[in-house]
Amino acid sequence: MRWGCVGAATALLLLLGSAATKSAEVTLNYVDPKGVAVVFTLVREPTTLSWLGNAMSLHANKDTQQPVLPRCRALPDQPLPCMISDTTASILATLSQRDFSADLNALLTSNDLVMDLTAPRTILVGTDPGGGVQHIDFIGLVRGKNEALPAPDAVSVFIVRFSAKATLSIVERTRDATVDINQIKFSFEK
Amino acid sequence: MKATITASFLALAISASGSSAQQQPTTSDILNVSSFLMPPRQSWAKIPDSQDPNVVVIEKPASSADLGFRVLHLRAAVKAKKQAAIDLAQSGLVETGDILLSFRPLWDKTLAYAHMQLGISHSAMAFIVTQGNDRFVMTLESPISYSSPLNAPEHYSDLDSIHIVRPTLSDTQKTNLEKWARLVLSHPGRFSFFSDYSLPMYKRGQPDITSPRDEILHLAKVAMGTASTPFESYCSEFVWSLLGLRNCEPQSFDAACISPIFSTSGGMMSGIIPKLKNDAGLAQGPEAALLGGKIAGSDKTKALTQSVFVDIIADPSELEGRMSAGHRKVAEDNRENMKILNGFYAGEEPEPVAQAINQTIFENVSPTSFLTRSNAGMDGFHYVGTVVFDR
Repeated sequence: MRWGCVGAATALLLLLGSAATKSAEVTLNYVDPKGVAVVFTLVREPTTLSWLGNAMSLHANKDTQQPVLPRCRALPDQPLPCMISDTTASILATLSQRDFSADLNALLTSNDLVMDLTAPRTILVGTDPGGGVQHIDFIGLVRGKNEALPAPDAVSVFIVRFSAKATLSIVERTRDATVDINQIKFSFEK
Repeated sequence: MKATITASFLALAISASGSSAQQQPTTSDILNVSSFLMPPRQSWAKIPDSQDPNVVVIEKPASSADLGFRVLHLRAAVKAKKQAAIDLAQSGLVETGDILLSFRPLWDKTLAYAHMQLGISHSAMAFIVTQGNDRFVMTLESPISYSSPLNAPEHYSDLDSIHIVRPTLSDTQKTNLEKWARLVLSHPGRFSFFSDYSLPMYKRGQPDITSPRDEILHLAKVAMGTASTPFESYCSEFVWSLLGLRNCEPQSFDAACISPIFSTSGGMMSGIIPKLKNDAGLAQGPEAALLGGKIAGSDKTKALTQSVFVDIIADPSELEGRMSAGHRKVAEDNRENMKILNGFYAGEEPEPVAQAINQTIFENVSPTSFLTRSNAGMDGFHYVGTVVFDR
């Protein structure tokens, strides 16, 4: 686990390094796959996150300086998934700024969304040119109540976005360009 | 303490921002996967240099063995955007008729079933088209709603890498495929997605579709508007059926032109062929990769029994960020079959076991089939490269 997290931190360094002069997105799934499960579990239970905030959230392991979830300290024989990467710790620190459970429920209702229990989970961390967290996107957390996902690996077009300023919003992903099938030409039609 | 952690995160970022900006991309970290997921070098297509500076090609060999990726680095900003399709068309590295395979690096070191599928979840066919001044890659795929210049958000927004596999096609065959594509795209309502990949169309009880070849004929009829039922298929059935029409011209269609792309007795693939003798089965993508990479004998057996046909992750919650519930269920449903395959390889590939395995499954075509045939050097398939969005 320790090696894995050290590796994850290195990967994060590289990712941020390549995006040093512009905004970028880090996919947590590659940096810390176990962290994805931790964060999604907590986001599904926002009251847990508020508890996290009230408890001053995350503690660094004295020996390794690795971030550790608070109550896991009481479970020395179950170290996983208590140890998390710096990126996951940063996400949890951002999320624990306030209790957003009421906001999330309101967003689900107003946008006709439901929690999605089937899609693959992805967490994207948007960073500013300085590497600071701009927003956290939760993909596969919700779906439209009447949204038909066409295939096993399809993901809802609705994303829950948590900004660094602790606001919650829904982002709908759309095609950046549409194709008029009557306008395109294959080589035999030229 | 929260502030301390945030500060350390920022400190990390600041130290990173102090490093020199990279002008050339490094080989992509996300492709640091097990070598059996990599195509053998001997299967790589010969390609020209990229004609577009936005598409940078760098080879990423395995640390050992003759395997690796030819990585096509695109800009991160064009992921799930039409510009990606423009860049790829401009590069000259994608051709009409190429097969695009959705590759999931996060499936590496997870479940035996995911390993057997070489991390591939989906297949589509590419066409080079023009619209006004734009020349771009247009996909044709099932679900038909995915067909797009690589920008259907339900699929392409979270797709981090795409393999390109090339069938050997003449210009006439490419033109024929274009004509079928024109018909399909002009009548999308005639096509629907079928989600059970273990049940090919010819086994679904449709009276006039009782063989793999009938599926190809049905596609032709549906495209031409002479069928009474829609073409309901999973992704790989659709691509395979389309390729089966490569010798057919829609306006002078005669069923005699139908020719399955795989040179197997029924046209699709069985489960396993001991020692890969003149054929390759659905389960043999990893084995074909290893052999193509010059990993044979006990090394091959060790890889297949200790790395490929084994479940690495036991905790279901850990899989949530790696694959959908649907794929996890398929893997769960096939867990016992994976153990049998492990035993098959551990037992030096006995013929009776292969026969027993093959009797339990229908001949079929999976998205992985196209790369498996390429890995095995069969039917004229070649690996072109793997697209990633990391520049």
